[in-house]
Amino acid sequence: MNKKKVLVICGTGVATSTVVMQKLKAFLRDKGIDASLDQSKVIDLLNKAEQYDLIISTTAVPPSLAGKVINAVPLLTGIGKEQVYDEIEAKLKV
Amino acid sequence: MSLSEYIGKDHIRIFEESLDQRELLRQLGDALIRTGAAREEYIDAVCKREQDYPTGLQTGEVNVAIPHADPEHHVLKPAIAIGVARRGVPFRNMADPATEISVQVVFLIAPEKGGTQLAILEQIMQLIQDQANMRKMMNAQGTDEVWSVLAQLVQVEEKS
Repeated sequence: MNKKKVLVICGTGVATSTVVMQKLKAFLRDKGIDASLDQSKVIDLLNKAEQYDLIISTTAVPPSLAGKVINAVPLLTGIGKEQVYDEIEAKLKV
Repeated sequence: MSLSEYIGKDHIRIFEESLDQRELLRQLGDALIRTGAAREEYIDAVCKREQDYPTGLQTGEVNVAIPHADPEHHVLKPAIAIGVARRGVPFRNMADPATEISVQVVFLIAPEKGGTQLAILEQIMQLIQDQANMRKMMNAQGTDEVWSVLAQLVQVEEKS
């Protein structure tokens, strides 16, 4: 299985993406999923998006990327987070 | 790591009156400036970021927002200011920027570059996931009570 590349983003690449990053690391460790994680801000997506298998974002992203983006806001609010984790797991285990 | 390093009682504001988002951010930002946590410019940076990347979170009965901006040049030491807006303040929804929600509890974050201190933000996220906590903050009689709700929840010793 190829190691998947995941990019975690938020508006400034500082606050909410850090929280998501920490949660994601713990989740992947629990599940035994080996993926490489990077963190960035949404503006960097324009030149980086194609290098990644999956983008996890707390902010709105260009519609052209919708296929590989998962909305991570539920990981912040807790509302509907199980579904998001399931989605992430499904995408990374393919 | 203790929450009291980031939130002092003098970082908490309760707004009984109606106010708009900019005024709320200005007043919360002012709390950070007064305690030497951020420069004046941070407020503008936060307001601008809120236009581009809104931070309103629909969490249930008491909605929350976590406005913040890039700390570069504007944040002097990491801190969080908390605003309780009894009548609600309009914020656009982080998950769906086309919609607006009424927010009652605002955490203005002045983060440190690097991210380790942002474990504190994780604690805030835990806090907001429990609506009973948010109701307690929403109904607090004064800033002391908001502080004691926080202090209980993160089990830190209250600094006098």
